[in-house]
Parts: sequence; C-alpha cells; structure tokens
Amino acid sequence: MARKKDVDPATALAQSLGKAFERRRSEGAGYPATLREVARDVAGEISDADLKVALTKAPLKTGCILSMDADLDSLAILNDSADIERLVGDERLLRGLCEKRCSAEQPVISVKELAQPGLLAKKLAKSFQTVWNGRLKAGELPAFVQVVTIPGKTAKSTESKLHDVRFPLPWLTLSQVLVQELKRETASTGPLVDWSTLAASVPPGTPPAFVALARASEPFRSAVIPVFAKEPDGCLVLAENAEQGGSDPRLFERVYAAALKSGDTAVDAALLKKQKLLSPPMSAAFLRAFDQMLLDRAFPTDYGVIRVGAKKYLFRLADLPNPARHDVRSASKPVAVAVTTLPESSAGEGFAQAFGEAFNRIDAREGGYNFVKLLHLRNALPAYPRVLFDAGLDALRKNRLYSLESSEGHVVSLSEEEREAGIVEAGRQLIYCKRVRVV
Amino acid sequence: MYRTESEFFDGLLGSDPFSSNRVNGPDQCLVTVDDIHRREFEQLCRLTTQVHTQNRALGVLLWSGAGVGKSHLLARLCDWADHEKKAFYLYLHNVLVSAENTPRHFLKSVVSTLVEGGASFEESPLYVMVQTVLKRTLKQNKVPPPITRTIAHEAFLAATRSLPLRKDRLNEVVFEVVFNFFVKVNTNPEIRGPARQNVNAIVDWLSGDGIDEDLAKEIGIVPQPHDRDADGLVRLQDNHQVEQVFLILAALCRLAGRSLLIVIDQVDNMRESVSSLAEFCHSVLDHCQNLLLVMAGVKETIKTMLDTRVISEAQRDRIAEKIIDLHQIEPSQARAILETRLRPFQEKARGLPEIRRMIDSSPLFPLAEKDFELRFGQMAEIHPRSVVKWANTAWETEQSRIRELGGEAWLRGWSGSPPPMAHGSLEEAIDAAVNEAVNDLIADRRKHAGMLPPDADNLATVTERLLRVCQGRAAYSLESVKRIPDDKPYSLEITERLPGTQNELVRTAVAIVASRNGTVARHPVQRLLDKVPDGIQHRILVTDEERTPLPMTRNILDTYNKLLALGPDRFQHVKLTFQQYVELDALRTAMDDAVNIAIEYPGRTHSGLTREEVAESLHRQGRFLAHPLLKELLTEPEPTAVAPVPLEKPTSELVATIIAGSLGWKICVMTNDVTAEVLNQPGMSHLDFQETHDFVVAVARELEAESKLVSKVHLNGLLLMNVS
Repeated sequence: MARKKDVDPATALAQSLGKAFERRRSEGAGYPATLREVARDVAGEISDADLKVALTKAPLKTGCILSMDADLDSLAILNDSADIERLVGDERLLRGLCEKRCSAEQPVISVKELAQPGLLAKKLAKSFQTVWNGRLKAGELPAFVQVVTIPGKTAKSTESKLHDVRFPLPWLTLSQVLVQELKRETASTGPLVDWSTLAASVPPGTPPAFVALARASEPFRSAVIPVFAKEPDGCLVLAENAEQGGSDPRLFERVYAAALKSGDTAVDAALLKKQKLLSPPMSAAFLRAFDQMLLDRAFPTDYGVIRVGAKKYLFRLADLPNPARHDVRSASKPVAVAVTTLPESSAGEGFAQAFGEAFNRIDAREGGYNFVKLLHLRNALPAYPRVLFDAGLDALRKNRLYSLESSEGHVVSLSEEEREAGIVEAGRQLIYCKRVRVV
Repeated sequence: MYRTESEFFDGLLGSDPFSSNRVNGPDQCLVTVDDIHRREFEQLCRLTTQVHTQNRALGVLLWSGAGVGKSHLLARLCDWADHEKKAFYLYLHNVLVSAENTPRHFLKSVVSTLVEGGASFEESPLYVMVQTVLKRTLKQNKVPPPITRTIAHEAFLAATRSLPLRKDRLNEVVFEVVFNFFVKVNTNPEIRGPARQNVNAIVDWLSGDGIDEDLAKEIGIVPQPHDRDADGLVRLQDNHQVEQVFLILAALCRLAGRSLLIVIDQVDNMRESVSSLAEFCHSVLDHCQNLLLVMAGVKETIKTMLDTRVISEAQRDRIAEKIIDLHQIEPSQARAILETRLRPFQEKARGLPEIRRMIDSSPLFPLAEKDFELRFGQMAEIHPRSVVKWANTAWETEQSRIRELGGEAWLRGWSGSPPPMAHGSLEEAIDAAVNEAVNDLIADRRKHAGMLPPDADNLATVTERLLRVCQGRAAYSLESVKRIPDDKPYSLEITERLPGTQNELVRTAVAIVASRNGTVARHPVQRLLDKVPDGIQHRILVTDEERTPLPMTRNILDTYNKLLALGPDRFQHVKLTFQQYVELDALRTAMDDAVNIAIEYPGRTHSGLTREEVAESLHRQGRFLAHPLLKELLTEPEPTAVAPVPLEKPTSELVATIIAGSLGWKICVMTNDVTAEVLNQPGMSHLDFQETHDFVVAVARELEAESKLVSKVHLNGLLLMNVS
C-alpha cells in the first residue's frame, strides 16, 4: 500500500478555506464575503501572513478572487462567472472602492476610474463597469452615491459620474463664493462687474468644468445676469441690480457705440431701442432707463440729442465739429439740444458724396448685393430731411448713378417704417436703392 | 399700306401693339429698342462667346424688380445667339418640379426643347447640332461625296473622340443615340410609324425615362446589366449620369462651333425646388464646359433665398459667378419703346394725309401723348412694364371710343388728351388681367410644347398645387389633398365632403401615367387596381392621352378592363388633351407668376398682383371648375346638370379683323396668339381656348382660300403671313 503524502499547513488552510467558501455559497447567506470572515469559519484566529500564503496555494490560487488586490478585508468569491456577476454588482464592493478612491478633494468619480487597475481586481474590471454604468444610467444607485452630470471635453458633450455624498460638490461652494464676490465688487465699483474680476476668486487648480458648473448652479444661476447677450464671460450684474445697471452710463456708452455706424456722428433713438446687444433682462432695463432719459431729456454726460421732424438723434458732444461751442452747464445734468435747422442750405452740396459713402457702407455690411433699403439710407443721413433727401436722390437717379426698385411684397414683409421711408412713384412703392454700375 | 381711313380704323380695332406686357420666351415678333439695357445685352453676348472660346462653364445671375425687362433681354439674347449662330439655346421659364426629381425633370425639359423646339424635327436644335458637326467635320477632312450613312457615322464618332471628355462608356452611348436621332429624322422627315416610336424612345432615354431593351437596341444602345433599372428598363441610372448628358450636349455644341446657352427664367417662382435646382446647376457648372447658364428672377426674392441659405454660398459663387443687375429705364427710352411698337402700324397709315398729319404732330398717335407726359414726363427713371401697360390701356380706350363714336368722329375729335376713364371695380380689372395672362400663357405653351414635356410628376405637382388653393372653400367639395410619396400606391389622395352632410367624406385615389412604355405604365395602373386601401371609394386614372396615350399592352388592357368593371361610380379615366394639360400649367403659372401680372388701378401701389389675388380671380371666374380634371376632383357627387348659359361667341368678322389688324403691322402672326387676342375681347374671356383656336384656324383657312393670306402649320397651330 502506498504511503499518503503529507499536506503542508498552507495548502491545508487553502483547502479548508475553499470548502468554507463553497459552504457559504451553497447556503446562500454571507456570500460573497471577505477572506477574513471566511477564515473565521475555519479557525478562530488566522494571521494575515498565513492567509496570504494560503492564497498562493490550490485551490485558492486559481479558485478564489479577491475583489481588491491584496486586501483581505475586500469581498472575495470563488472563481466562477456567475459569482463574478454577483460580486461586481454587490453594493459593498462599490462602497469599498468609493471609500478608497473618493475624498473631499475628489468627491466625484467615474465608474471607469473606480475600475482602474491598482485596486479592483483585473478580472472584475470589465464586468464591474458594465454593471455600474448600467445602474448609473438607470438611476439605480445606493444611497451613498448620486449621479452628477458634468461638462465633457467638447462643448456639447457631458459625462455622468458618481458623487460620494460624504463630500460636498465643490462647484456648489464655488457658486456661493462667486455670488459673494460679486456683491462685494458691486458695493465698491458699481453694478456692472467684469467676469475676469470674479474669476480671480476661483481657487487655483479648479477644473474649468467645475467653474462652468458653479455658474450653472444655484445660487449663481438665479442671482447673476450676463449684461451682453453674446458675452457670457463679459460684464455681469446681480439680478437685483438690473434696473440700476440699465441706467449705468457705461452701458449707455457701449450700446451707443454699437449702434453708431462707421462714419456717422449721430444715432437714431429708435435704432438705439432696437439694439440686440444686451441680454433680455438687461435690454428691458435699458429700455426703461432710456425711455426715462428721453422723457426727462437727461442723458449721460457728454451726450446730446437733436430732433428732426418726428425723429430724435443722439450724438456725442465730442463728435461735433466745434464741441467748445456747446455749453455743458453741469457735469451732473447733461443738456439735450433740439435742432430743427439744417447745417447745409441745399441737398446738392455734399449730398452725393455723403449718399455714396452711406450706400457703400451699408451695402458692404449687408453682403454687397447692391440692394439697400431707403430706410437705412435715410437713417444714415439724418442731416437731410425728407425733402432734401428725395431731391438729392432724384438728381442722382437722373444722372443714372442710382436706381430704385419696388418691393414685390411676397417674401419680404415690410415694416411701417420701411414703407414710410419708400417713395411712391407712378403707383409703385419704391423701397430699395441700387447703384447703377457701368458694365 | 392702308388705302383708306376705313382700313386704318379696322387695323386699329383689330390689333394692339401693346397687348402683351410680358415676354415668355424668344419670339420672332419681339419688339426691341436696341439702346435699352444695351450694355447688359452686350455683356451677355460677350459671355456667350467667351465660354466657347475659353471652353469653360459660367453661371450668370440676372436680377431686377418685376417688369424691368429681364425676360425681354433674355429673349433678345437667345434670338441673337440663334441668328448669329453663336449658341444653341434652351429657354426655360416657370419650370415646376418636385424637389426630389429636379435633375431628371430639368434634363427632360432640356431634351424636350432640343427635340421639339422647332417647326419640325429637321429644325430642332438637336438635329441642327448634329448636322452642323457633320458638315464641319466632313469639310475639315475634305471628305468627298457621296456621304453614306457609314461615312457620316464614322466621321461623327471620330469628331466626338476628339473632345476632352473623361473616358466614360456613357459618352459613346449618348453620341450613338444622338446620331441615331439624326439618321431617323433624315431618312423619315415625317416621323411616322416605327420612326416615331424610335424618336420617342430617343427622347425618353435622353430625358432619363426608361425604355424597353429592344427599343434601346434600335436606337443604338447595347444595354449592359447596370443600365437596367429594377423593372428591367434601360435608363440613366443616377443624377451623375443625368449630369453627364449635359456635359455631352455642351461638348456636342462645341463641336458644332457654338456654345450651349441655357436660360432659366423666373427661378424665384420655383420656391421649394430652388434649392435642389441650385445644387444641380452648381454641379453641372463645375463639370461642364462650353456652357453659359443664366438664371433670372426677381431680385428681392432671390436675395432672400441667398440670405436664408436656401441657395448656399458655394452655390451662389458658382451659379452667380457674374451678377447682372437690370435697372429701370430713362424717360427717352420709355418713349422709344412706344414709338418702336407704334412705328409699323403708323408706317402703314402714312399714305393717308390726315393720319400722316396726326402722326407728324404727335409721334405717339393714336395714344394720348399728354397723358404720357403727365404720368411719366417728370420721372427720373421709368418702369418699362408700367409704360407698356399704360399704352395698352390707352390703346384699348381709343378702340372703345372708335366703336362708340365711329372712326371719323373719333379722328376729328382726337386731341392727344386722355379721355375720361371710367374705372370698373378692382375685381374687374384683376379678372381682365388674369384672363389675359392665362390666355397668353396657354398660347405660349402651345407654341413651345417642348417646354412642357409629358411628365407624371409634373402633372401631379401642378394638380396638387391647384387643388390646394381650392380646399376648404364652400364652392367645392374638396376637403383635403395629399401628395403620396414616390407615387405609391398612387399619386394623389383626395378627400371630398358629400354636400348636404356634415361629416360624410369620400376619398379618391388618383393615379397619373405619362409614359409611352408599357412596362413603366403597367405599375401605376396595377397599383390602382390592387393596392388601393379600404376606404377609398373612387379611383381616377389620368393620362396625357394626346402625347403619351396609355399603351394598351395585354397586361395593361387586362388590368384596365378590371378597373372598368368596377363601374363608372368607382373608376374613371380622365384623358387629357395637350390643350387641357397646358391649361392646368397656365393656371398654376398665373398664380406663381402673379407679380408679373400688372394692372393699373387708382390707389394701388403695387402694379403686380399677389398670388392670392390671382387665385381669387380664378375662383370668381370658375376657371377651376371649367377644367375637366379639376371639376372631377372638386365636385362630389356628379354636379347636377345646369342649363348652359349661352356665351357670346366670336364671329368670323371679329376673327378676320383681328388677323388683318395683326398682319397690318406684323410680318406674321400665330393662330395661338390670335386666339389669345380673341379671348381678350370684352365678353369672350370664358370661351374655351381649344374651341376658339379651332374656329380661328377655320377662319384663317377661309381667308387663305380668298387669297388674303398664306399659312403653314407651325407650333401647334398655323403661322399666318401676308400675301407677298
């Protein structure tokens, strides 16, 4: 009879642990379990060293998977595909990974990051990601984590991540900080504050995505308004200060500058009201302030107004040929000047040149199609009231320099203003002007 | 010359040099003042020549307001190109296509115009093109007569091989087919019997339609597997091949020593098809050579299309590589239009002392010159159509006065001052203008049948467009009309309300067939029998019976009989004549081109009409219900028979007067144009065009028998000329 070979203690321990795992699995309770828990089934106290050696012996060597590398307190299972599925879906595994990976500095983490090698067993990585990405998408998460969506690498992409609720989201804090900072700046410099000033209060190293999230979160989102529609990183104002911002001279200056056409020295007040520079709430505030200015005839310092017929034109005093002639009585009380006489005695003098320049300017701005509305031309030449403008244009037409064309009224709806600016001739309403080019 | 004042008055009553203020295409009766838009005309002529000498393709955009003279300028250009043999031209206007079928329909219109655009096939541009190529080639190679078919064939193919075209089997196929067309027309100029079938097959295949394999072989195609579509028909496979045909035609023109000039007028009316047309033209211009492609339309509309990117920037840069702006004209030029149009009429009357005195003292006689001065005298620039419209109204006013006072009394009392004009209602003015426009369009389409090829998609689109302005109106039973995608199982679905009921609806399926080919025609007929869903009570089959009658193959006949067996309550076959097809298109075009229908009425600041005004006018006048197809779709059930209101009919004297009046100052006149003139007479607007035309032809023949004129068959009518 052959002698039985003696089994070394580590192997014996491994075999016992293997059976203990199988027992737990078949009983359906307490599985998956940590190696330490299973070891207690086998014997009272087993040292970490003995456990680690046992892991190197059959059947544990290939038959057992520790969820976290070399972590005896991490969940473990027998190496079986069904058991793998069971393990990766176990919330205790997720918690354990979050506890090791997340912190106050990094309260948010992706499933992929959690599954990176160095912690989670390599064999579990793929299944883990599949299970938890699916649950993240379905919103089926345990209470210790939440889903957050943060901007991705491109403008339109976003990424869903896990937020370890033990730690506050950093951008919420930042949102509060930014609003506080804006209030402080408003108190010292006025209602309009540039974003770059606020941005200085963002802690260094803050990811840009967090800054964006801070601006999109409360309280910043509700409390702060961008002043200019297309400049989110430009001037800002507290919502509660919108009215004050609307009458800020700096705002007026900016709007005026945007409405002023190149080469012009005045702006039609009606055109100023139609500006699309400001964000909707600021636009409303500005309009109210501007209407009040018109009513009171009180404009920011260095601005004046003239009236030509029913139209009002604003201008900078500095743009007048001899600004010294205009008497500003008080720096805090600007004077509105109503002018009803014309600087020139007839349309002919300089009209042709002014008309040509205005035409070229407007045409270039509108794409160079040689098709400019009379309304725009009239607005660009406020110094020429209707009678003179029409006479001057008539002379240009007779000299075959310009020609007019009617609107057929099919695809373009004319405003009342555009219609009024047209010329009725032989029963046709001429709306557009074209330069007659020599072919 | 007018020998007596009585003849002069007859001439004045029977004609109107200003009856048309719209140009619908090249016309040998086009009256031109050379000085007007001279620079623009010369520029276009230069460009037409340049594309040939430089062998390149160029897109030109010609735009301005309505009624400034674009169409006139283009007609003038085409006349020049033809007369000076500088280009083969294709003039297309108011083309209506569904966006999906734009390239094929465009090709079909082009090929149709190339083949049908002449008094006979021997005068068609395509025939002339091939003939010119052969003449030049044979002359260059000094080939002695006799020129057999084989020699001509070899010479033609050798010439085509010299063209710098990318190697493609399609090139050879197209050249072979084109040469076959030439041969068929040469050997059988009457084009009857099998020759007609072959010519039809050539046109069909070149236009992108499918043909049987046997016919394909007859016309010079050796079909390969990839030449066949799902039904086994031989056809151009895709838009790339469609485009290739354009390249080949342009190259053929080059061989013939001319450029290819394609003019697409009134592109602004194309609406939803503009984008696909722009895309296709962009591609053609990129790949073609020897081509000048001119697109024209109302500037405001086209600019809006550019601003809203209906036409993209890349497309604009190509199709509008050159932009030509037309402007209103100078007062002296406006006067020149009137004088030029009046001159032939005045010249005939210079032999009469009293009339000569009037003309010498008042160059615009018999028009009220003082009124002209009052209206236009002080203006810086003038709208051409407004002038012609004014002159038309003024001429008609003088005609009314002559009828009222008699010729002599009118002459004695004529002072050049405008008589007091009583304006009827605005609606009356609109109705008169719309009628005139529709009749002009009908006359024009009849003269240029090639521009309206038989096309099921086009017919369905036109019908749908017309029905849409009728739906929901109390006068009609039509509730809704739906165009079915891909025409499967049928082209249109109509829902009508049963009169006297609140909710009882009747649905009708309409299938449209416009193919000579039995295999192509079989499917829609079969689907009309088999695939119509439950709930459809009526089925209507529509065919262009005159040009593409339903091919009664065994299969089709069998299916057709089964449809007939459903009974007249459930199935009808509406067989359209060419005239009726034309009328549909004319009604549609009148709405789309409303801006070019001018009226003068106190207080109106637009001289052109709106689409809505034209539609209302057509409703008022019952024009929709007057058409057999539309009546079928707009009334349910059969309308109760109403005793017909006797309409005043033209007399032989009236028709003879109009013919004499026109020939009094024109070299020739078409019976189509005479018919339009008759229908424009007071009280005649409701008459049927075809019936009236038949009557005009009969009167013309009587006059010819009396040796008062000569005639020849020409463009769906007769060409009438003075006896020389």
